[in-house]
Amino acid sequence: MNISVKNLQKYYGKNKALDITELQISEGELVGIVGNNGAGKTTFLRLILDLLQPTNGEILINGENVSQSQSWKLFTGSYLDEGFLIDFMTPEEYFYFSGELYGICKEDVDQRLKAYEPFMNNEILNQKKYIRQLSTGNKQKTGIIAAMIVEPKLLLLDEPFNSIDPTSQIRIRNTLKQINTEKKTTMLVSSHNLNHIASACSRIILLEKGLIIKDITNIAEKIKEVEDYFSVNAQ
Amino acid sequence: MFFKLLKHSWLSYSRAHFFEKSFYIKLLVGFIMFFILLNMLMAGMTLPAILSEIAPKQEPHEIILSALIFIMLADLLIRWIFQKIPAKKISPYFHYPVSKKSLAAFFIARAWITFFNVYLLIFFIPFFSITVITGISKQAFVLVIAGIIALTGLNHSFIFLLKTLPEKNNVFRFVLLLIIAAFAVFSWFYTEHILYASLWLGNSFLSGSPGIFVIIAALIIFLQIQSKKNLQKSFYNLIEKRSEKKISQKITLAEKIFRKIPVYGKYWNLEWKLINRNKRAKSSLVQWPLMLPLLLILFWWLPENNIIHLPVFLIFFAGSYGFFHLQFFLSWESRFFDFLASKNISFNIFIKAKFYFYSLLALVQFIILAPFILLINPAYVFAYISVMTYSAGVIFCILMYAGINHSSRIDPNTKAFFNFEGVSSNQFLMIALVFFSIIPFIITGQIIPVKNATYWVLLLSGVLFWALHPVWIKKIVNNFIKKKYIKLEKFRKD
Repeated sequence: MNISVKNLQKYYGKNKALDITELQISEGELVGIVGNNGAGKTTFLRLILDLLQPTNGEILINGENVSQSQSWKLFTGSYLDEGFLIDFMTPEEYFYFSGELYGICKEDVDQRLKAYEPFMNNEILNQKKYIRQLSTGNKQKTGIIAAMIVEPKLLLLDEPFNSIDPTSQIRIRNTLKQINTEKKTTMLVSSHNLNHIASACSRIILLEKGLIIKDITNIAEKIKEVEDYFSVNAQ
Repeated sequence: MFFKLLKHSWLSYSRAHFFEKSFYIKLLVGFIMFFILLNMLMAGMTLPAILSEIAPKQEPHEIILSALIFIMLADLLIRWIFQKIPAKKISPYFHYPVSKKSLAAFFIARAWITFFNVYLLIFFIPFFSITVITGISKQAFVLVIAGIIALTGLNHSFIFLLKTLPEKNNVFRFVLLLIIAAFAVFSWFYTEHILYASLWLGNSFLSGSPGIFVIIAALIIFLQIQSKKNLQKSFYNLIEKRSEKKISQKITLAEKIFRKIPVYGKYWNLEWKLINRNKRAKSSLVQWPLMLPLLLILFWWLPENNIIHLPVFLIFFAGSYGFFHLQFFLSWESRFFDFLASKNISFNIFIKAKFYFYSLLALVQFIILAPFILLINPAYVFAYISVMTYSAGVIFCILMYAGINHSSRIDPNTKAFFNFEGVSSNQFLMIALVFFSIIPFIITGQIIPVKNATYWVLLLSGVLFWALHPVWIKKIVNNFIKKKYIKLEKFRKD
């Protein structure tokens, strides 16, 4: 799945939250979106998912405008925040329901969940708890797994490394790389964690106040530039 | 520290969600409160004269004092349902250098400042001040009011103790339940004894018997000390409670049935879980069966020639739980609407699923009630069917259509009572519209010279709307899509 962004602008009242003239994300790319708070990362992901109306411009997934078509949803998995969790369901019920919406039967969901058992660390399945009773980290894991088990062709994750333990962070990072390599899934991952992004992604987009400041593909060489950018800002 | 905590209590009240509501909602709620209080005041002022007329041989204050025990029991029940203990907001203070003893003492003292400790006095003070003129002395007036304040304090302390009991203290709850059951049985068979005991209690207040005041004061002190102990112990529970709670993972019969239904089954399952696993949604669902006997009493009570006015009452019942739930159409899903909107869900099917679900619920309610209605008066069966069809067709259409304008976020798991989250002025207009929508049908029924004309017109309208539901649901979906982004944005706001 490829994404094409044209003249995209989003205003909240008079405040410009995002302004991207042009951006192409090709099939199979693992793109990291970095930026300080308020840079427009979540707004960008919401716009791709058609959860926000752009003030101007359009986003095309495989040539189809996301706001005029629904077909892209069949191949897209996403987890942005707790608004993606049905918190009165148990994690199992939530996984089955998510699977059902993508035409995946219960048995297949169970089968696919096995791959995520180490990530769940015996704290999510069979806990006799609703999602709302889980810890913040486990809620985050539940949302991420639900987005992944449907094996989407396009995966969008907002701050997936937040609120979870270091081992799980590394597991997510490795899983993202593995899925991207094996299944050629296009991925957009926003994060504040430069190390994970640099290690997992083939491309990094740096947003600041809604604008793309840097778009880096040769990460090994240029990650220093990104670090320096944030260091200068910190001073 | 006491005053700082008191200030925090005030801030938590004055900055509560309710005060962020629109001016009209505040005005309406304020008016309702004022109306209730005014009614109590008026009742207190007029009841002595009314009682004198009904029972001229008895003093009005004696009649009221005879019912004092029942009044205080009713107060206890109201408190059990509505009165909240402020101790639930205590956990943010745990990490401050304040002793748990002081915190418990503060919250016990703070709990006395509540509407529930005042409202009965709004009735009793005018009532007894008028009976001063007609019978009792000024001194007796002061004493009886003091007695009522003492009983109010006793009720307050008792409820506070009950609500601060450790969750595992089931023995106490069981004993209490036995006492209540025994009292209910006793009062059923020996009502006169209770009335006599109640009058004795009231007269003890009037005569200023020190013994009764000492006993009540001792009981209040005992209950307050126990509450303080419980509160200190329950501090840990307040934090641990969340992580301890386990749920049953058994698949319910309803879920099993819904799973087998193609297309709509998965959405019915979601709806069923939504209304069963969330406090606010569930409380209306649980209360619903309690209202049904009232409907049967109404059927039994109404003379047959009054069948013309029946739809006015039936309109609130025949649509079953859907009538209440659909008032917040789509707001129930506000907390996870991003999930729904980002998935491959046809909103046409999603909304149809909701419509069929609540139509079916109305039908199930009718099937349960039908034998009883038949027994009471077979003529009402047709009346019920016609209003039910009208509810499921016309009213559900109005509620869902108007619901497209709701953009308020609702947490379905918050408390049910006095919860104004998601309530808008539109909703009041909508309910008024629903209520008044039936009037033209009643008028038509009066004009057309056919037996049960009102019900035939209601039935036909209901059937027509039901048959046309694919058309108006499509219109709802189109309107929804137009407003989708605005709704989503508002649903995200806490």
